[in-house]
Amino acid sequence: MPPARGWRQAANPDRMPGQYWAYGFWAVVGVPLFVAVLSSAVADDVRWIAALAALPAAANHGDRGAGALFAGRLDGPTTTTAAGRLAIAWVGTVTVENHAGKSKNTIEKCRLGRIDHLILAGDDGRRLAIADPGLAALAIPESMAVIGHGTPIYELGEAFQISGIPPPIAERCGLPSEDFAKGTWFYQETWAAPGTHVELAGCRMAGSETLAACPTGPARGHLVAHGVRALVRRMADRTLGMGALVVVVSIFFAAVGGIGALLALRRAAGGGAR
Amino acid sequence: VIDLLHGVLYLLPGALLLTVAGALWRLSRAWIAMIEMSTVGDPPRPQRGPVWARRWVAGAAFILAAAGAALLALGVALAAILLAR
Repeated sequence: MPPARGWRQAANPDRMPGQYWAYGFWAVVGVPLFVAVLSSAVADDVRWIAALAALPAAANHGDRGAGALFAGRLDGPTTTTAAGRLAIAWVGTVTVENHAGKSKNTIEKCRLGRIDHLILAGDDGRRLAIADPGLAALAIPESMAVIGHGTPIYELGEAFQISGIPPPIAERCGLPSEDFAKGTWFYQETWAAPGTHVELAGCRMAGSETLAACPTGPARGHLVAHGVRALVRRMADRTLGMGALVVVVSIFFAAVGGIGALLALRRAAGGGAR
Repeated sequence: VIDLLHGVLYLLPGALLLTVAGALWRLSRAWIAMIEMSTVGDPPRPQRGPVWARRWVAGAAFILAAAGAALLALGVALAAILLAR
């Protein structure tokens, strides 16, 4: 019977075990891949986050056309959300989650809400109308990609999610009951209670008392109840998380081979790994 | 304070990876030194240890250090954005 081959073989310690070539190949491929992903996607994200974080407060610097943060309380006609909450603005979405093997995809089936006729009662006493971007234009849920694409994010402060769709909401969405047999259905609602303090990243339209998305730059009409700083932190967290994930994948093969090689050195040094 | 804590947390993954790379390198140097101190054969000659393992540890330490430095640079950039104002 021939002797077992591999890194445990003591007869020829100078011979590199065959599987290390495979680890080496993936380490050499993984590192350039990591650098490519990090330098393109992540670096772009960092630029957008920096631009969003650098927006000046309108109260201090005014809006010079490149966008600013307008802070104040949300005002306007009150309404009732689909779940029965009193709100100034609200957005409700019906989504279905389908599983195919280990992967899952989430599809938005219906969007309800009201985000028109909003007024920002500024901390400086001014009252500015907020241009309605249209319910369909909002990015739900928020993500780094939508900031780059210039889609407005509305984070209205209060939120809840339930699994299963209440019949009145299914009726408002025109969803037949047989649709609910497939997949896992959720209803998410986010709303701003009267008097909610918000920050709006946008531009003041020339010659009017209206705030809207800037045509370029990061201030695309984002309306954020917990402040743009909180949004920036969440986006920065996701970017670092993505960077860390890419690093973990690319170093896996290097680490496996490195530890094996270290054990081989220990054995040769008489450390007694076996 | 929240931004400061975030900034510090952003530095940790890269710093941890650099520390691991450094530890791997130092451990390998210590064991290589032990190998070279021992002798084999008659007449006795110094051992050199498995060359492939030396190369592998050096390569892995370099890759881990490069990945750690890149992650640290990303962490520094994000922390600087949060702490800029």
